[in-house]
Amino acid sequence: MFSKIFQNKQLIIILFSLILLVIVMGITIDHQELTWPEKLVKDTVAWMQGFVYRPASAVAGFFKDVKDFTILFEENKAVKYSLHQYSQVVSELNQLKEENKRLKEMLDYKENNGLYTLQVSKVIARSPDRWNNMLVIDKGAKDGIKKDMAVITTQGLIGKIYSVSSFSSNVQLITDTDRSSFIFALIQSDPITYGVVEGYDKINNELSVTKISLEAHIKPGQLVTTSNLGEVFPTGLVIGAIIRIEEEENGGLTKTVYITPAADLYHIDEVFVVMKANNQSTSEKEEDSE
Amino acid sequence: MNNKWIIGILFSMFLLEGTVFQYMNTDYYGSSISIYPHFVLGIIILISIYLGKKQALIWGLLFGLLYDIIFGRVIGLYMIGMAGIGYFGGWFIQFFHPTFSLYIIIQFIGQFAFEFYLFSMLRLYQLIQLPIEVALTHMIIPSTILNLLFAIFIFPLSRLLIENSNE
Repeated sequence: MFSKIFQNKQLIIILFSLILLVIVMGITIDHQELTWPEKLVKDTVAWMQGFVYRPASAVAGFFKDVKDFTILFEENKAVKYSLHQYSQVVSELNQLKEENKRLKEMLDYKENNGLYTLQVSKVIARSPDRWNNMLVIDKGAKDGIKKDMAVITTQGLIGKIYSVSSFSSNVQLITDTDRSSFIFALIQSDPITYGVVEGYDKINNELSVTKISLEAHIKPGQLVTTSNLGEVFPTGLVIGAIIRIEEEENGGLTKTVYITPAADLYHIDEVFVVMKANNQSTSEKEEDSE
Repeated sequence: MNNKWIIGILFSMFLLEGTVFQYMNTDYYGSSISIYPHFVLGIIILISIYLGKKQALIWGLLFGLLYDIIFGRVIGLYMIGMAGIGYFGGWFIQFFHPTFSLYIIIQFIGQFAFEFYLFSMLRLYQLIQLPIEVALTHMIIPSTILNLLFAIFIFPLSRLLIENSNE
């Protein structure tokens, strides 16, 4: 009976290809450094995708403009209203800046301006299915991009650099939740609390932040930003705002909060790669001492 | 229709899926339902029916690898899936005379199986954490319907393939 099975060539091939699939998937699952043939293929295709994507995005942008035109009036009203408040906020900001400067001088705090250097980049393709939430952007290792850099839009954090090729790189969105991709989050409560972003609910468009201590004073509406505790991201990139809190998860040992992402994760045309945030360690120390 | 044409069509479909189609997708307009285009797979099934399973196997391996390199997180997932579905189509049709309804049935089985295979493999390796009900109602079934519409749209190509294989 066994000899009959082994005579069936097709069956043997299918079996071996299945085994091969499992092995290759297992090996490459944590492999994010690209080999040179992969880079070659990626850069070539990215170059062609750029040609197709740009006119497509221009057309889509036109239709969006037409749609926006209808809500322009309402928007204008709201903007004017917020402009009135703006001047007051600016004066407050200046006041706080002065105060901050004075306090820092008192602490002998060495500042070299903790602003981020941003690299503007165009999205040139997106994975056709949402099993992998990958964006291909048109900047790569030649522009100084490295793995694990944070990627943001004007609205907030959208993901991180997953793999880098010479002239293009892949961005993994925050909605992708695999074992190796948590994001350490900081909740701007008083005092500050930390958590881990893991898990995305597609239907309600919610990210969950877990592992928050029970004593944390968190309320809906508070902002959640990145934290440099994981030494992956700089502090202070907005992820989203809390919408609801669940106290009794994981057997009541930790809290879980649900946040809506600040950035629109399906409507992405242009992204910024956060290249470097200066002086992170000192600013974190200061937060701790508060 | 020679190999150059097949490469051209498959590759342009590959480009369209990742770029132009992303602007027509439902979630771009704020819907929680996502449609995943698998136009390349549709054409590979067409090839498997009208040009034979071996051809489909080779195109599946080639273009599956391209997906894995450019969009994927693991190597081999799309490659084996596309090749397998292509081979299955050609094997299934051996026992029947290819008609339009049979073509639709094979496309349906192929597209559904491929989507389900991707979901279950990524779930197995814990690369996604989605409950199966959500995956079925919001992704797999809508995508299968879209890809079936595309399959009907490309059916006239089969005549070109038959003429070519008779030469």
